[in-house]
Amino acid sequence: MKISITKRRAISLASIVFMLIAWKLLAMYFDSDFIIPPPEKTLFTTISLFGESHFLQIIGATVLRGLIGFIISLIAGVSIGILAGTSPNFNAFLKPILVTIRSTPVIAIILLALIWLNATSVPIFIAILTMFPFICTNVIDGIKSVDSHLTEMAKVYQVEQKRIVKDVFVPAIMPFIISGASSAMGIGWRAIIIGEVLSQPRYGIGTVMQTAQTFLNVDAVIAWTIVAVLISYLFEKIIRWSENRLIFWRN
Amino acid sequence: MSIQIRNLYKSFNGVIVYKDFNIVFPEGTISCILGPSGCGKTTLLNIISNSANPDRGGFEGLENKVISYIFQDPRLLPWKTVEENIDFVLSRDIPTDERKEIVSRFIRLVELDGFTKFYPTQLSGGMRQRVSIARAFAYPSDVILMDEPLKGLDIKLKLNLIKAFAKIWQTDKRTVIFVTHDVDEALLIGNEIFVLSQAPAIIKSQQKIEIPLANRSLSSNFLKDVKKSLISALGE
Repeated sequence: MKISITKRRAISLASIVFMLIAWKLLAMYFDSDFIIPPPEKTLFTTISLFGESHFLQIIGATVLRGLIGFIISLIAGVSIGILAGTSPNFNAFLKPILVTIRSTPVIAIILLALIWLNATSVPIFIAILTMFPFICTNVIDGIKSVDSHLTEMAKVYQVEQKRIVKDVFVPAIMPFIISGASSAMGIGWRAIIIGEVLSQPRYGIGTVMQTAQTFLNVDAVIAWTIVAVLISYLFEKIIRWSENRLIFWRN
Repeated sequence: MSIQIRNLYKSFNGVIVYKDFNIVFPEGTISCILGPSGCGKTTLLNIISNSANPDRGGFEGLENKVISYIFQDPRLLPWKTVEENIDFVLSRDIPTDERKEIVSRFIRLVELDGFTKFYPTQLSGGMRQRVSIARAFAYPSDVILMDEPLKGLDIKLKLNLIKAFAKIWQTDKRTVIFVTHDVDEALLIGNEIFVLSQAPAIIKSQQKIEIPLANRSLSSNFLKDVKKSLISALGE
């Protein structure tokens, strides 16, 4: 078992090396920093970003937008999801709304948001509209999977609805909330950065990426992308870590 | 007051389960319902607990009765400890201290003293069912319904649980309606044993056992005789 884990790690590592070699070969083929800068140069650019004057503000602004969007989506998604999961009528009402939000192209929402809102709020708005349906749909599915034997038990013992929600539904759907939160976060960061590219708030990863692109600083565009990937990865780790703490009873 | 069911009618997808069925469960005793599977034993419990509606029928002695239920599976909340699971069914109108006292008293009665902070997955099947028994008694009910709570457990565990149940019931004689298809369980637990037929159900035999639960032995001649007549009623 242990051997196979180490072996799989080695294979994953080989995959990263493979990507880097492919990148290097392409860079050598095109031989132009304006098309594909070589990986080592990009790495230096990435490191030098940390020393940039507004680095913390830029990162902070994007992360803050992500967190605000995420928290609003989480609260709204869980509470509306529980309502829809327990009331078939409300679910029937909500379904078309969710389908509409999910199938509207993100760019259409951004274009409208640019008209309606200021530059700082646009990315948050986009993030909410992309994250909320994920969490909400997961919660609705989660409620459907709650063991009816447990709710029946709670009803026989005349436990109040409020406590049934708090002590039966919420813990039972926790795995669904977390997997919904995880996929929402994954697409949420992308949505925020697209929003920033187009709305150009004062600080934001998307803002600096757009600037770098204008000046054909390809290495800076890629370097900021790496920073964005790292942020996304970090939050994914936090979610997985909280999963083990919140669903302690599964083991 | 005893629980009386008169002229009960109930059908499921065109199959008549009860037709003009009458039964009386005396108060403060353990009534066992024996019968082949599919004869509507669980349906009867569900009608009594108000989780299923009869097509027609008269009930007496069920008004304002509070009901506990011991299910076939323990139905514990996996994210709550033994004590939290029992506390869960207690009304929040009872002050916290008093609830704590009730919970620990019933945990002691089912001999799970050292396991108050354990989660259901850390307990054996028999221990989980004991929590479910403690929960049913901790809840201030008038009637306890039991739906084959010993099914699928090995004989040693069964005897163990029957002992735990008998001990707790001696101190608190509530009206119990116990559904099973195991004749030995009925002999060890029942004061009143009813044998039901295939649907539409009628009472084919009714036996009374007045020996206290703690003094019963399946090898005694009296219980052997009762067993014979129950089996013959079941086999007809």
